[in-house]
Amino acid sequence: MIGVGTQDNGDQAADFVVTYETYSFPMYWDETFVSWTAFGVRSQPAAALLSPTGELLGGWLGMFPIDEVLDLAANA
Amino acid sequence: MRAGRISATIAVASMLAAACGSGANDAPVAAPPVPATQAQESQPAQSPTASDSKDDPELPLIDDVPTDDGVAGEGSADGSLDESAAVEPTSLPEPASEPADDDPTMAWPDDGCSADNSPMPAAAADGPSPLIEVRAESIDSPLPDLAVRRINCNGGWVNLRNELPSDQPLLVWFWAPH
Repeated sequence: MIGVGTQDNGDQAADFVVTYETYSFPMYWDETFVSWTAFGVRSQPAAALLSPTGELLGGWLGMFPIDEVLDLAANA
Repeated sequence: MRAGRISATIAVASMLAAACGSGANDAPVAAPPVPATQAQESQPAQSPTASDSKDDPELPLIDDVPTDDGVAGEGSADGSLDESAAVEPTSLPEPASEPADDDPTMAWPDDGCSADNSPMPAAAADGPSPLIEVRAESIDSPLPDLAVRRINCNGGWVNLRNELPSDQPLLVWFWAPH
């Protein structure tokens, strides 16, 4: 799992990581929005699950369903 | 180590889904980013059901988001969101099984992240975006060839495209600080 954040600024992004205690997976920040537009993301949160070779397995706007994500990942 | 990392990551993901899963400050989505197998309206963190947010007042737009659709809609049957398919928050499932910690083929990358999600320094890397080469095996990765700042773990800069291929599926979670 990786987090790809954008908008606001780097200090606010760092504050977010501290506030929500996201330390167990990489959290990235991209001020360009390129990372979001590559997937057509226009609002947050959103999530996309990719296979080890890059196939799109699923995508969600808003909260992602953990059970479904785990099931898709287990069968990827 | 791996088991702890998985547990910590899933626990954080669960927390994010419940607490940060709101898009209360964000724009409606004109097109689904990816096949919206499950999608829902933006909603307040304290009201994690889709129906709660149906009557939300107008949400502020993200003015800076470019309008290029990129790969939007790929894999989606009709490009529309099934708003009725909102997902209730779920309890954290126990992993059915986990590979042995000493399985060398399942080693985690040495990204410096916290195995037990214990706090560590967090700061966006400074300076202008560096040129980071794409790995030969990542040329066909669907992720953009883009240097991004890593805020936690080892810090520094990473080329997103190099995240794939990997030895396991990759969940990309799109977030914003506000």
